[in-house]
Amino acid sequence: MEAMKGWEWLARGLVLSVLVGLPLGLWTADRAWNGSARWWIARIPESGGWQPPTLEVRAGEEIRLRVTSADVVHGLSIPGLGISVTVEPGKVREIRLRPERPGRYRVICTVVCSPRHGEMIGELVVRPPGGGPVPEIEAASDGAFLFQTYCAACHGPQGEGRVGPALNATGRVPQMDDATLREIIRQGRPGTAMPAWGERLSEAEIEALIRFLRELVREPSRP
Amino acid sequence: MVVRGMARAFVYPRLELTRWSPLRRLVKHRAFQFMLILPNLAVFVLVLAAAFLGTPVGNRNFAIIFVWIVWWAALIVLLIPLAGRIWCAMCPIPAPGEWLQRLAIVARRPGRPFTLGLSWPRALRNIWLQNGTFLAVALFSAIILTRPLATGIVLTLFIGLALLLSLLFERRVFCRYVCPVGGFIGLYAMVAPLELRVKDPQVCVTHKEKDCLRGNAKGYPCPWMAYPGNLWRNIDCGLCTECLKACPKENVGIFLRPFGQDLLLARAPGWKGRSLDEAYKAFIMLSCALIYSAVYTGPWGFLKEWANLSDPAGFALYAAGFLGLNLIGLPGVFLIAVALARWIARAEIPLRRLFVELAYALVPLGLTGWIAFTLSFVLVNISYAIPLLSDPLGRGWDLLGTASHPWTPYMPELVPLLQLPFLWLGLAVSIGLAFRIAQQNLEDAAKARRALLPIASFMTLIVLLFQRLYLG
Repeated sequence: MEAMKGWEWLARGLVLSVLVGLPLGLWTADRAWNGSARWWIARIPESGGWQPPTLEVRAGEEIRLRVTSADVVHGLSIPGLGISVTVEPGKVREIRLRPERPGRYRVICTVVCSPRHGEMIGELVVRPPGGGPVPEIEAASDGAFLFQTYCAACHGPQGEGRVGPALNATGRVPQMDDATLREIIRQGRPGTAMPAWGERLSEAEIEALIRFLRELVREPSRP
Repeated sequence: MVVRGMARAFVYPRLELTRWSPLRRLVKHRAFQFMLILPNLAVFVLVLAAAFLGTPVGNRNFAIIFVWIVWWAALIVLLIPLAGRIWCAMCPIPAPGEWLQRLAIVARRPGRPFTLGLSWPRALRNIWLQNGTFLAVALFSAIILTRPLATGIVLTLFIGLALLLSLLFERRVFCRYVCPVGGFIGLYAMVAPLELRVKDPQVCVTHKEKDCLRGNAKGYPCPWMAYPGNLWRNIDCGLCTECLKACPKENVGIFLRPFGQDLLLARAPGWKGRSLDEAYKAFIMLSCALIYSAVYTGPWGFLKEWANLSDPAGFALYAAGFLGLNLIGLPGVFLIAVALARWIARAEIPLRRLFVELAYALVPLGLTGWIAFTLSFVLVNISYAIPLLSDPLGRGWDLLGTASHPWTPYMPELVPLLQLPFLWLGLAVSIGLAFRIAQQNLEDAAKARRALLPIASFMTLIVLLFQRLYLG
């Protein structure tokens, strides 16, 4: 009987270890692996888009950004910081960054992930180290980066055309004037998959893109 | 060792494993079942953590991969065919309720159990409820099997219900009458070559104290509410070994035996004989194996979409088809086959009786159908488990250095070569069993042979359907 009492207490201890110790162990393991990492979870816009939609960091501070997708393949791109990675479902990508310049950086998805893919916009807010208002960032002037970020998923990395038409010398860009291109980028093409980028791209970014498209026509292998 | 004579049930060769004293000592130890449950309880906690806190991506979530691929494959391909209800002995779901009832985990605590101790309603002392709970889970399987949160909710409901029922009712009524998994494990456990039985039923007849039923200082009364003296079929025994511990006559053992003996049993003392609820379980399991094969391995993507609740109207159609085939379609076609068999054999046995009796012949075919279906996805998907050993919650850990192990389908070209022998083995065994059952009921080998024709045709048709689904 005494021996059985010993077994009973041992069993109680083991059950307690499993019910309390195991969750505690998981929590500890997560602290060890993820520590101070910040998370961005990608979901198609129909399910909420980037979660959280806005991430705030302090300028000059190094952050570990861990990104994962909860549904399909996405591409995380922060054009203003030169970041672009593919995010596969359930896999965790780690990005280390130290944004020096305060401002509001747009975060987009570079893989056509759903019918409302174009709405998948998030924001990385980099606050000044000493506090104060967050300044607006000047438009990114790198047309090639903007093209890879916003256009390449549909039009191909060389502008050779995929879901969308070719934008290189073989396409119709050479026949279009800047005003027409500007209009298409701003308003989209109703009845096609081409979204309206007018609310997401600034005038300067649209101009940088148009300049790049012209270069693409002249030098097709540029990207 | 051959045990003969005492009861009609044991006229088959049996080898008592518990004659080997280390094994006997082990199973008689009060901590034996706890030692089986504990590792599964740990995995269960991990499963719930992954289901509720882990990534919602199914193939990167421990709950989905370890429950619906690793555990399921182990259950269907190994545990049930070889060891019957052994999973019921190690299942963690009813454990908290039972420990609470006993106010002890391993010790034999005397006194009144912590429960209202209500008796389970007589009308529900069968597996109809288990048929219903299984159908309810199976109908939503496309959701439950792919979404970790849904898996977590279902498992939490199971453990909650088991706990609640143990507080209200005596012993393990959840396992015996409610658990959707326990229902089919019991049915297919009758095939297994492992049994817990009395050594000599006559000893039980003369033993007045019935410690196995009432319990004693060494063991609790049978949690499955079975009387080992009248235990003839694995479906009624959860292999908890309480009777083995309690029996003062050392008259209970664990035996190896030929496969499928319980299915040959026609009558035995204290057993009411083959019944419609169990017959229907055989139909439901066979129908579900066919439906799952069509939905998950067939070329009809729309079926998967419907089952996945993508479109309410589509799901309504799927649900109607699913329930219709389970409850009416397959049993209906089988009824026609039995009616033909009865007519060809000029038999006088009531049609309903023959229908129930012969339905048991579908059990081996159903089991091999499930094995074939399980093989269709387990070899292809089991490699998803490797990265999850390092990162069970999908949080970017790499505990064992396997987190980036790629998905690797193992021997996909061999899958049909493994499936077909199982299906045809199941068919051969089922036809043989149908003949034996027909003989038991028609009491004439010639009549039984004639009756076999439509039944064997029905079974062959089922195998051809499986084959068509797997080979295209």
